[in-house]
Amino acid sequence: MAEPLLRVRDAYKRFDGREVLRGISFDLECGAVAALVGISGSGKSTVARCIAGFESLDSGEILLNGSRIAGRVTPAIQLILQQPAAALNPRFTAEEIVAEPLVIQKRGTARWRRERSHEMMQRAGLNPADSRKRALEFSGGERQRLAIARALAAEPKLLILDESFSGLDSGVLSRTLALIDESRREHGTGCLIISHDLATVSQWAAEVLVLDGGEIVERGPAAQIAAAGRHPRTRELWEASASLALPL
Amino acid sequence: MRYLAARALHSLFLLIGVSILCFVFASLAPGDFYSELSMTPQVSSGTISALRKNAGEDRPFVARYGSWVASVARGDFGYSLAFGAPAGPIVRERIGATLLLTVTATLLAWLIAVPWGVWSAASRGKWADGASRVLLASFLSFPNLLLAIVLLAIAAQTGAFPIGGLASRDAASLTASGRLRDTLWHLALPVAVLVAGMLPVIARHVRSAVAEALDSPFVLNASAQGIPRGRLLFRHALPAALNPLITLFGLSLGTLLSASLLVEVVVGWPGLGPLFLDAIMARDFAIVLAVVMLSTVFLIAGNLVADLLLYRFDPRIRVRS
Amino acid sequence: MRREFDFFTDSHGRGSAPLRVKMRSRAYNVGMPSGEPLLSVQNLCVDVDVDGRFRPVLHDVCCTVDEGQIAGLFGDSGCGKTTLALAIAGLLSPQYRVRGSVRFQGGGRRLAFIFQDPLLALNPVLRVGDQVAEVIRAHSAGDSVPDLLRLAGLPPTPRLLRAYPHQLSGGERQRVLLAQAIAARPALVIADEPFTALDPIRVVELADLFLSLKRELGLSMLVISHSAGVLARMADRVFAMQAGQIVESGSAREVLRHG
Repeated sequence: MAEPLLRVRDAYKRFDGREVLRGISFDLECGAVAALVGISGSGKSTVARCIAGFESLDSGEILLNGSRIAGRVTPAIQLILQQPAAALNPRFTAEEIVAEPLVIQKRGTARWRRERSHEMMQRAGLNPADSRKRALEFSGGERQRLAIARALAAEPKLLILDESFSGLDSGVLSRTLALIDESRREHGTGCLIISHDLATVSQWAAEVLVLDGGEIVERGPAAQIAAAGRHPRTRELWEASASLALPL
Repeated sequence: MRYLAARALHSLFLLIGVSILCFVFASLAPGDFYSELSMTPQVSSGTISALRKNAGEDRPFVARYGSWVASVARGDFGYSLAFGAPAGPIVRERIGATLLLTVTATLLAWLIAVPWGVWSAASRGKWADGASRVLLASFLSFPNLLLAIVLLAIAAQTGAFPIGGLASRDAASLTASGRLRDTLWHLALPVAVLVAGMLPVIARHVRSAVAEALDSPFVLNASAQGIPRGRLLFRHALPAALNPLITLFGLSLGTLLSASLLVEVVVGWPGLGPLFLDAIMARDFAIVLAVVMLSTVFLIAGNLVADLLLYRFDPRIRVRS
Repeated sequence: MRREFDFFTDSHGRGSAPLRVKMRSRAYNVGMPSGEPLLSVQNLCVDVDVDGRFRPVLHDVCCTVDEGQIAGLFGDSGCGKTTLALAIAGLLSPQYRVRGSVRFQGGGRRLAFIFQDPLLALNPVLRVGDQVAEVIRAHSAGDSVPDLLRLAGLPPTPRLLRAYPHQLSGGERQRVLLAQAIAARPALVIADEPFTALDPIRVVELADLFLSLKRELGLSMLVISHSAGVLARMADRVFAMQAGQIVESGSAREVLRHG
């Protein structure tokens, strides 16, 4: 039986004396899409940041393909944040932004990187002719696409999307999902979606884990969790987000 | 409390480091106090060596440093070869005059610069602001010492202000208020020179800090909620602009001792300036070191005051601790 | 005393000087606001000065909000909703050129604005309780700080009153902005994307709070959101925007049907 792509075991973390993560454990297989759902303050963003290496755990381990990675940033794990405007250096050109992970990894020649950068931009729905434009000249939705293009240019093994879908129009959304799907099929990229919108996310993820107060209170196949969740928090999230879904 | 103890320890290390560095530089510089004497042909080299040995100047570095530290502990702060007496009391005698000058100038500079800066931030774009910026720029670019000389020349011509000195010759016979007036009359010129140098820097910082606060989203929100302009400026923008100003204030405090040294020399103010310059020229190392150490202490104190004020007035800083 | 304020700039397209009108507006005309809408925007055009050229942002926008109504402004990011809201409130910076008419007939009551980012909109060095008090004071209103906080859904504990913005959670900060906005009983509150950072449970709570404020205070609102779901829940009328223009308007049901 193959090693899971991502394995998180007994993750604990405190912030200012408060326990933010309390013994989180889960697995993610290659090419799988799972969602971590919870309200603000449930710890889901902290999990994302710890996996991506921006924070360290107080105890527990995080394994990528069997090897420990806790506390270290690696290009194999790409994190896309909610506010792409903040995540992108406004003075960098689009080309530089998308090629950056390749530069860091020292892959290929400058020319190859430029071509790859254009390719990724195109697949993300951006015009490669705009590659010389600076990030601040793009709109919010376009910048989100740039962020995704950048993340996927690195051919990561794991993609983490932290609340990256609020504020996106449906066009960008479907294109983003298509891109991620492609990456899954071609490279076996696993995808972890962090969100508070149970209703929407259960349409994309195979498995859903519900987080509350730093613990996983329920987990299972998306369809089951959504419609027939048992934990009160799950029901609450489902009812709220379902009631906000379009009527009719 | 623990914080203060940590700072005190840190400052001690800093002072020790500065003193060692000073000693090193002095040792590296060619010659010492007695080198001057070798210019005089009548004094034989034997005499000079004997003098040196007598003063203990020929001992190795560590020994000299050690005895200096011991002297500091006693309160003597080393032995001034030029005056033939412990350096401490000599320096202490002169500090008062320097501080009188710098405290007056610093206070005056801040009292003028803060309202000026606030006004200019609030009047951005109006012609008066443009004029004020030109004025401040000219203050800034006119060399301090040149201004001192110019004012001295004017004073010499018109007799409006005394040239040099802290008090008139007959000061002792004046009444208390007479003495006060006399001192103020003597202070006027050097204070003017110092204020001209400090004022533009402070005013420009105040302007930029207040302008940034006025442009911030939270002032826009307050304005949108109906807060009137005057209150916006003083109750909303100014408190938010304090952070960089407190740091600048700490720097002002920190340079209380050192800001006026050259001006004192030019103007003839009997403070640490002339003493310091003479000691450097004569290579009277004990005095030089004492003044340097004292300046460092002021700098450390200024920084500490700034940090404490920041802690008190900026709630964002408190989050860290 | 009744006031009508009218940022009537230049409806003939000649363009006027850059407009930055403070909320303490020019009041003149005593009028009777009966039967007419609370807010009426007609042919509003906004251009922005980018490197010397004027780029159009809003084109010929018309919308109205009636007394006691919650209107929604719906559209994707970048379509100009925030610019429209700022233009109505008179808060655009001088690099924007505004033409058209915005007529607000509040009958003496004010127009309040809730900014999108509460962390930026609150003063970092003033206590939250003081910041709400400042607004009360500015309008000589009879409200008390605890009352306003309670109306905004925040328990007025000493901890909260004395807190600085960075010590509160995002949701709490937003409610503080709301408390500021409802001081002195405004006629109209414009809220710019108040739901964006919230999880669905909080979104529902906030939407219900807006509805209860409408009922109890007779508050009218113009709410901006890119979330069709929440507007469907609380708006009486929705204006859909795209690329700087109003492309549809009608009841929430009608407009949001095709998402």
